[in-house]
Amino acid sequence: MKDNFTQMYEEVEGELANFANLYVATSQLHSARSVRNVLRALKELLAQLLGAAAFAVYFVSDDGEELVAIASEGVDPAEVGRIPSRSGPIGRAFQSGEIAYDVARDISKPSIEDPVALVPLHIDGRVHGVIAIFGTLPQKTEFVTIDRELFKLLGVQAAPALVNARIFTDAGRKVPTIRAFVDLED
Amino acid sequence: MAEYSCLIVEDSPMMRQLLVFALARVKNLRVTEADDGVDGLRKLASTKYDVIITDINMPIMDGLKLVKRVRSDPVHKDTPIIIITTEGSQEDRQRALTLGANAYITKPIQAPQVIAKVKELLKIE
Repeated sequence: MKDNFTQMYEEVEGELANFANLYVATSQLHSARSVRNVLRALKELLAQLLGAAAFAVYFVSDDGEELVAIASEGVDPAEVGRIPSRSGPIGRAFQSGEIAYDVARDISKPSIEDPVALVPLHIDGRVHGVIAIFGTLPQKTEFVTIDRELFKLLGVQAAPALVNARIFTDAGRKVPTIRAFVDLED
Repeated sequence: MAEYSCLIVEDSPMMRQLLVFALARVKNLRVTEADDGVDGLRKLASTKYDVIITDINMPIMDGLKLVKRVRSDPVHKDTPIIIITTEGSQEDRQRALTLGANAYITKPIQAPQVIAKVKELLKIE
């Protein structure tokens, strides 16, 4: 049986490891300066940190009626390409803005119809997309505490990283002059 | 001053960053990073490390080829090697171990698991 000190030490070590995961996730997302690289970082985060094997990243269409897959892995892109934004599990997650993930079944068994995790992507309190995880690696059979924290982080950091990268590219990859940071209009 | 040295061979910058963060928790361990197997061999040509951590799936030279090369090099043949990969099957695990890897960790990695494995191979309390 472990003594109290050993148990506490292990708990603290575990917490530090979790913080490191969250730090790495944030820094990878926000250090990418193009949409392509943000998506690459996002795919890596989902695969390497969460053990996601089949997933898609959706962004809402201009008319708000559809969710369009802007990245996917482990699934046929044609099968997940465009889905309604008001129905089905992914559409419902988009409407509710709430993170949902499976705790009752083996999450490594992939299902396009019934994703194992849904993470709405927020900017400024509004939902602009959803990350849908359809299945995980065979050895990853359940989500753990840190996964929930990563879902929360991705929910508020992924969309701003994508939008910032798009704006930066559209601005010719130029950093605004000092006036833009002094004369604040927002 | 660092007493131990570790070479991380991993093509993903994110995984490297994660491993560096994890191994910062091991006292007196100096960590060097390599992008792939070829870069790893280049670093091994000039330095002897106490432990090597390598991914399996990498461009240019994968982790299994690296293990083979390390094990056939008289200077590094006894250096402990930890394989990290997405493959979870017993078959892949066995393949890596047969080639000479000492330990096998599957992704998604848990930092405490990596730390424990490195400490075990370096015989650190």
